[in-house]
Parts: sequence; C-alpha cells; structure tokens
Amino acid sequence: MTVSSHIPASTRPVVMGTNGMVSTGSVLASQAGAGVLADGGNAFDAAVAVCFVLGVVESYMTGPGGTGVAVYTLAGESRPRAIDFSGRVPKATDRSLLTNENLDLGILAPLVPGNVAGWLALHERHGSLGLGRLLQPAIDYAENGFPITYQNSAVFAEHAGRILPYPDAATLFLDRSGRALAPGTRMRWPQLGTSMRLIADQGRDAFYTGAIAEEIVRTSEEMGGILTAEDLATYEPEFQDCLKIDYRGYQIYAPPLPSGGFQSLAHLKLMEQFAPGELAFSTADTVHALIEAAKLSITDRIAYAGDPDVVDVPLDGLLSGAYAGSQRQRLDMAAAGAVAGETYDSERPDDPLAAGRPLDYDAGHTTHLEVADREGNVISMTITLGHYFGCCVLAGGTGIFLNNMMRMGDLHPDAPGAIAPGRRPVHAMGSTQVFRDGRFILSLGMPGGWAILQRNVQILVNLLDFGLDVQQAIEAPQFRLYVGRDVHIEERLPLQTRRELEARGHEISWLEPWSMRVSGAHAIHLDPESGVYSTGCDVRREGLAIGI
Amino acid sequence: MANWKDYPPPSRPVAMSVNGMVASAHPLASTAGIKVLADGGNAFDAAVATAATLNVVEPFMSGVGGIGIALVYHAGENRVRALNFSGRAPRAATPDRFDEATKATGILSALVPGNVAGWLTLHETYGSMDRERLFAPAIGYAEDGFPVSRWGSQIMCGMAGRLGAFGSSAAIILDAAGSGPRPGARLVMPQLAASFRALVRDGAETFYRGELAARIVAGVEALDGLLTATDLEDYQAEWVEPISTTYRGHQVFTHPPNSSAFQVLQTLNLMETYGAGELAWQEPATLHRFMEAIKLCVTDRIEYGGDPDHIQVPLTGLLSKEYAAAQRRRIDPERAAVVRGEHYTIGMPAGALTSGDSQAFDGGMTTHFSAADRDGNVVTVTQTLGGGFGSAVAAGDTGIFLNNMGGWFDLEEDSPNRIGPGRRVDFVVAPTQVFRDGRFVLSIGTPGSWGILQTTPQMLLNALEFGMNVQQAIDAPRFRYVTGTQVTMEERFPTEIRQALARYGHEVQIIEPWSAAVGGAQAIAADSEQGIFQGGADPRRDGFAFGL
Repeated sequence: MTVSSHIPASTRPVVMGTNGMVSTGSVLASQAGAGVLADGGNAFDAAVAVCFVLGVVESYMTGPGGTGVAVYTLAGESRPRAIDFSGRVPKATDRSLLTNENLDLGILAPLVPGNVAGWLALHERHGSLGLGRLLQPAIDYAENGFPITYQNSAVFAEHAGRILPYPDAATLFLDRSGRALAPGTRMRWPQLGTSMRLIADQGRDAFYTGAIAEEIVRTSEEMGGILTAEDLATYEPEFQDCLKIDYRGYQIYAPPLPSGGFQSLAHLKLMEQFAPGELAFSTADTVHALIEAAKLSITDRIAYAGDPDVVDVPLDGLLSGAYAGSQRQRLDMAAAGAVAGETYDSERPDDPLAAGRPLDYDAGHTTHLEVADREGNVISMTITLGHYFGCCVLAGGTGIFLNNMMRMGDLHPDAPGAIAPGRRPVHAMGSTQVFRDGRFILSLGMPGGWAILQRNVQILVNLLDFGLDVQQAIEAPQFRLYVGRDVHIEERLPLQTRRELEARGHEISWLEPWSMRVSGAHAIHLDPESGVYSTGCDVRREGLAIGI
Repeated sequence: MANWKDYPPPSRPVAMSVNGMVASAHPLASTAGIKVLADGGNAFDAAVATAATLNVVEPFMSGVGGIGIALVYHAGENRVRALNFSGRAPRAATPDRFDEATKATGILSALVPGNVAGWLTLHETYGSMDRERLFAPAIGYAEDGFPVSRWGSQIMCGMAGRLGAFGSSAAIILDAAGSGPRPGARLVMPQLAASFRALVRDGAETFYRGELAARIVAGVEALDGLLTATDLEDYQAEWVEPISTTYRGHQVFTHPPNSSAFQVLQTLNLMETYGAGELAWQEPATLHRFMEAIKLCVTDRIEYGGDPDHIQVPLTGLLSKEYAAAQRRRIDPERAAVVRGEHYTIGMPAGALTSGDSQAFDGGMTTHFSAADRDGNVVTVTQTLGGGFGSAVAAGDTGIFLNNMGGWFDLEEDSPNRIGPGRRVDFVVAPTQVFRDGRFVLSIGTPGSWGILQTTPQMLLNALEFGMNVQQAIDAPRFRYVTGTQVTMEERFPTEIRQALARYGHEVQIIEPWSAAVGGAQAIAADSEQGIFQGGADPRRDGFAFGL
C-alpha cells in the first residue's frame, strides 16, 4: 500500500481509543454510547443507547418507527453476522393503490417498523446492561430538552414543506409562522420520552403489542392506512449470515438480501480485476473504473434482487472471480457506458439523458453508527425513516414518526423487488466489515440511499488499495451515479481528473466540495498490533467519533 | 448585526449540549472530563480529570511538572476568580547561573512546578468527587497505554533528540532504537501512573513535601539542578482577582500579572475605539488597524510585563479607555509601524530587521481546555511545560517531565522579566471568560507562545464583533506579528487581502492554511436562557469539544 502524495490532510484528526469507540451522526448520541461503554456496557448495549438518542436528536433520520440493518462481529469470531430489521410490507397492501406520491408521504407509505425489534433482539442476544440504563440518556434528552443543532435547523428549514401538511409534525420543529427552530434552541419532546419509558419497562411488547402498537394502529385506521395489529405483533427481525468475498488478501463481508449489499461486493470483485498498479488515488482511470464497475453491478442488482423469501438470487455467480473477469471485459476504459438507473424500470431508457428520479436525489436522510468495545465486539448499523421524517405521520400521541420505506420496493409487478404483501423490499442499507487472516480489522458504513452501495466501494478502495487513513478515506471526494452517464461528483476532485472524465463521456454534475448527498460515513479500524481503534467520521454532517 | 450565517461554514460541527461541555486539546481528555460530568461531578472535577488525562495523552504539552493558570466562574458565588499556579524560579536561580541555552533546555530550566497545586486547589475549593475518581482515567491510560495520534507521533519523534539526552526521559517515550512512537501505537507510562497514585493517596502534600517531592529532588540533584526541597515546600497556588475590561457591552475577564494577558484586554480596548461600522471581517483596513493595535500592545507588554512582586505593572492606566483612545491616535491609518519583537531584546535599532526566532514558530507547547457544567460553573485553564516535554528531563523515576519555563525569563539586566530567586515568569497565556449582563457567554483560550496574546483578541473579535459561532471563531484564519513589520498569516487569507496589507507596508509571510503556529484554541459558549452549550475546538491540533 502506498500513500499518494496529493492526498489532502484531513479536516480533523483520527480519533483513537483503546477501550472502545463510538461514532455517530450526533455528538450527544456518541457521548451516550461512550458513557455506556465506560460504565461497563458492551458494544451492543452502547449501540442501543445510541439508537434511542438518535431518535431524539436526529429524529428526521431515524427513530423507533423506522427500519434498519446491522453487521456485527462478536469478539473472537472469525466472521461477522448480520441482523435484518428492515421491516415488511403490511399484509393488506394493495399495490394498485400505490403511487410515487403516496409512497413518499402519508399513511400508506410505512413498512412495519423494524427498529425496536431489531435493537432489542440484539440487546437480548448480546447485550449486558438493563434497558433502563440504556434508554436513560434518550429519555433524559426527550424530557428535559436537547439542543437544536445547526444541521437540525437547516433540515427543518429545507424540508418544512414535507411536514407543513402534518400539523403534529410541523408544530414540533417549526414556529407559528412556519420558520424552523433556530440553532441553539432547547427542544423538549415529552411524548417521545413517555414512549421510550414504556419500551424501557416493557421491552418490544410495548411497541408491537402494547400501548404504542395501539396508537400506531389507531392512527393508521383514522387516516385510511392498512397497518394492522397483526402486522405489528407478528414482526420479527432476522439474524443472518453475511455474504463474503476475498479481495486482495482481505475478507470483505456485507449483509445478505434484502439488503442490496451484494452490489458492493460484486463491484469490489470487479475492481480486483485491475492490478494494484493500474489504480491510484483520484486519477481519472481509477474514478472511471469505479464508475463503470458501479454501473455493471447496479444493473445486476436491479435485475436480480428481491426478497430472499421469494426470489432466488444467483449470488455464487455474481460474487465469483470468474464472473468479475467476464464483467471486466465489458468495461470500456475509454468511454462511459449508460446505466438504466438505480432501480427497476420496465422501460429502460435508450436515451442516456432520460429523466432522473428527483426523489432519489436527496440522499441526506438515514443515519449510521459504529461502535466497538474493549473486548473486540464491533457493530455497524444503518437505520432510517426513509425520507426526511419518514412519511411525516406521527403515531398518535407517541412522538414516533412512521417510516416511508415501502418506496424502496418497486411498483412494477415484473420487478424482482416488486411490492407485495408481507415482503421485505430490497434496500440499500448495508455496511461492510473487513477481516484479514480471520481477524477483524475494519468496519465501514454510511447512510445515503442507493449511493451507499457505490460509496462503500469508493471508501474501501481508498483504505485498502491506497492506504488512506480512516478519516482521509471518508473525506476524499465521493461520487454518485444516477441514470445514463449522469454522475454527481464532489468538486474537490483534481482539475485534471475532472477534464479527463468529461473527455470519456461522463456527464458530470459537480456537487459542492462537501456534499450532504454523499455524507455520513463512519469507519472503525483496529490496529491488530497495538489493539488501538482508529475512527473516521464524516465532516459533511454533524457526526463525531468518541474514543475511551 | 452579522451572525454565523454570514461566514464560511465551520470545519466541523459545533458540539452542542445541555448538561455540560468539555473542550480540550485531546479527544480522550475531553471524554474523561465529560464522563466525570455524566457521573455527577461538576466543572471543577471535570477540569482535574481532563488536566490529568492530558498529562498522559499529550505528555509533551503539559503535566504535573508544569505550570498554568485558571480562570473560574463559580455560579453559586456568581463571581470570576483567577488561580495562579504559574510556578516560581528556584531560590538558587540567580541570573549568573544561566546562559541562553541552559535556561531553555536541561535541568536548570525548570521552575517550581505549579500544576499539582493548581489542580488540587481547584478540587479542594470547589470539587465534589474524590481524587481517586478524578485521576482514574489518567491512571488507566498511563498503565494500560494510550493511543498515539499522528500529531502526537510527529511531536514525539521530533523531540527524540532532546529526550535522548536524558535516560529517564528516553525510557518513557523512545524505543530501544531511540525513535518516538508511530501513529496508532500504544504508549504506557507506568512511572507516571505510580506518581498519580501517590497524588490520589496523599494529595498535593506528597508532591511538595512528601515522598514524591523527595524523588523529584533526587532526580534534580542527580543532574545538578537548582530545584530544592525547600523550593517545593514553599510553593502554593494563589487565588487572585481577575482583571477585566468591557468590549461593546461584554465584560471580558482574564488573569492578572504575572500573566501578561492584559495585552489581550488592551488590544480589545484599542479595537473598541473604532465604531462597529468601521470593522469588518477579512477587510484590509480592519486587519491593518488590528495589527497596529497589537503592535502597540505588545510593546507595552514587553515594557511592563513581569512578576508584580518585583515590578510595578501600571494596570489601571494600561487598561483604561482613555489610554486606548490616546494609543489609537498613534496608529497610522496608512502605514505599518515597526515593532521591536514579541519579547524583550536589547540593542535593537529602530526599524531594523531582526533574525528570525525559531521558538516563535514551534507554535508553543502549551495546552488550553475548559469545562462547563449544568449548574453554570465554568473552568478555563491554560497550562504548559514550556517547550515540548519542557526541560526534556523526567525527574528520576517519577515519570514526571519538568518544565523549562526558565527559558521564558530574560537574562538582560534591564528586563522587567529578568530571572531571579523566587520570581514568577512573565507568563504569556490568556485564558479568557466573557460575560454579558452578568451572565457567562464565552470561555476561550489557546496555546501558541507569545502569539497567544495576539490570536486571542482575534478570536474574541470573531465572536463578539463579527458574530461567529465558536467553531467559526476558532477556524477563521489568524495572523501573528513577529518583529519589525513582519507578519505571518495563514494562507487562507485571500490573496487580495495580503496584497492590500503589503501596500500598508506589512511584510506578509504565508504560513500553512491551518497552522499550529497560530495556536490550538478551545472554546465553550453558553446561552443561559435556553440552557444550551456550544463547544469548539481547533482543527490546527488534536482538539475536540464534547457535550453531554
């Protein structure tokens, strides 16, 4: 591994720790997790504490009404595990009634929320401290107040239009004249505090069969929704085995379906076809290869991915070196190819300039957390409400936003990921963990919609092939493909690289130097010699890593 | 009135919180302080835990062998107090014992260390937790090892030559080949841990009069140093009245002489003589006025700064608004004046250039931190070993690096800051607290040797005049006037501005965009009405602000 000389210095130092690490999208959430670790809790305990705090302080990104997935390594084990709590389509769903609009806003959009079930299943299986201790920081912030941050205020302002039609939501974050709460305001949220007290006392039953479930179902019925008590009561997360590839001497793992994580692994396998000397940080060849390889992997994901309960995905082939070799032949280093898009579309555009899907453009929603403890447990979790504030419906008086993650499924009946009752839509949440010689060395994850699956690879290549440290690897300019030859790239890319990419036919939209659209990554690296954790945390959002 | 929206976004998010904030030069030290607050300790407790942890994780900057000063606001007493623990020259420290080299490096350069007296006086006066709890994080890192950051590695490797001259020092920091630790290594300091355990058991008594004192003196005697048991025995920290001035309705407090922080207040007075409309951020006329004001104030400080027990510091005059108005008339709005330098020198002809001063460019091996708790107490501390690892001597088997603050005295007969038995050094640090309408609003300070007294008013104006938030106020590019008409400026000052300043006759020297030579500030702001803290830390070094 060589470090290219033109890698810019990072904007903040790598945070290190010997007794544990927490990196999240909020300083208060990270601190809550670090406090749990310092009090003797393990990574799973800390992750649960973090999740509930994020539901208060980053309430437009995640919450008990959302969904998620986690990859985690148990201390001493030679490969990670996964847990899927990405929700299910309510059984009474009628696809013919769904539109892009009602999948975004309103009571038809939510999947059965998986977060509380997933968090508490992890806690029950691997945690050590009581729920009362773990939910205490979140309850305290909800009841006694928490600061509205600069990012909070900006999101409220920018997305006020989403919540204005929903007075319960609007009154939380906007003043009487519709203006966002200013940074530095202290907000209290007693309803959410009460709901979390119920969960702390009664566990998952509070949410899936108890008082919160009743409020969810009542609200759904009142608003013409279809979520039933049975949908909630029967929801179960699934503990899973991770998918694995070998990559230049590393073992890289990602969660299986319904996560689309295999796209990242197939993409990496394709990158492995390039000799190490062919690639270097931020060169046009490298960025071009990453983009073209992404297009091939995205196309396969769209063609094959669906709920594993009903769809058989040829994963062995897709992740094989031989297949990657054949795909490499299709990758033209001289010219940009056109891609059909990020999701299934029955009318594949011949025209590479076909209209994009503006809904997908704003990838600022969803959040991610990484936690490691002194024993060597490391968890990487991505959680979401879908779009900002989910479907914008609060479940009665619970203070809980319902997600709009049904929209990750396809409306077209022929799509392998078509929305259907009881199914799990394929989603983009998928962290990676990397091992070497059977020992954990790296955990990486991020929010960002379908771009997660592309950015996993960009950051891993920065780390594993170019030798950037965890902070530099996350800060390096990132890109995101949409449809055709359309690619959005942060404008910090070197000028020469930009020109060469344009010459190869990429239709590039230059994002701000640091763009929220490719934001929010966190990574933990373990130095196998010293046992020191090093953590990188994205500067494009308000996250902070804290070590102990 | 301008506010944070009018300036570039901060390099990292402002840490925001409701239950307390700690901002220090190292993330593990900030976390140690925060955990004390989380466990029910107050800001004084947190400050002690943070200071002790800094001794381990940032061992080159400060520690129990060093000196410092504190500014504290006690909410219950509703007053600001200053605590002086800036050490004293040993009784045997007559000027004839030194030359320029021996007063800067090696055992002769050590003043009586004041930090233990300072920390434990803070603790005994206002602390609430026992010493064992407060030193636990520091002892843990010293015994089990702490992770070496990239910046820490750079400094320790850079100091290998100085440390290598002393066996007791090399054994702590360097490996068998005489090299400093790599980034990501884990460094243990068992001797220091044992010394901390003695402090926990016996308090300041052991350091100044007991077993630890005897071992320190033995280490000093082995190298023919000046420090004696009597010097230690006599030492105590002193509560003193802070000095203050007003700046457009704010009351700004700092430490009285022998700190020369009065230079900061004088500069504010001078800048206040310009109307609010006459000052603008990154505007050549404002920068010219600022530089000229600083030069006048530096000149006064060199003339008047020193130990008030031995010289007369005409503070009333220096800090009066009338004096500021008179000084203002000495500023040529068109032309840069010639300044003699940043510290006392003899025989310099007016207008002559002097040789560069390398010590001015090491950025100052000092550290600044502050802690604020939910009751409204705020502790603001700047402490140092002088140079990196101070004298480079670890005293005997104590693991304690002794300071080299003797180097900050002058040997010249006419200097008000001449070294002499029992004298206190002209201490160029400036921990600062700002109040408005009797309520605490801001704590700020920085390391940076003589530059501290120039960069602190720049940050104060960023916040108080220009309306930046704490992180922006720290991030904004800084300048430092060196000597003659030479001014160093961070590269982020736009070229047009640098060119315009050159037309005034300033000789602008560019330093890196983010240069540790202009400090490493930490700040905490509070809005007592909302009950919100905002914390900022300097990306130029390893600083982090964490909230609870």
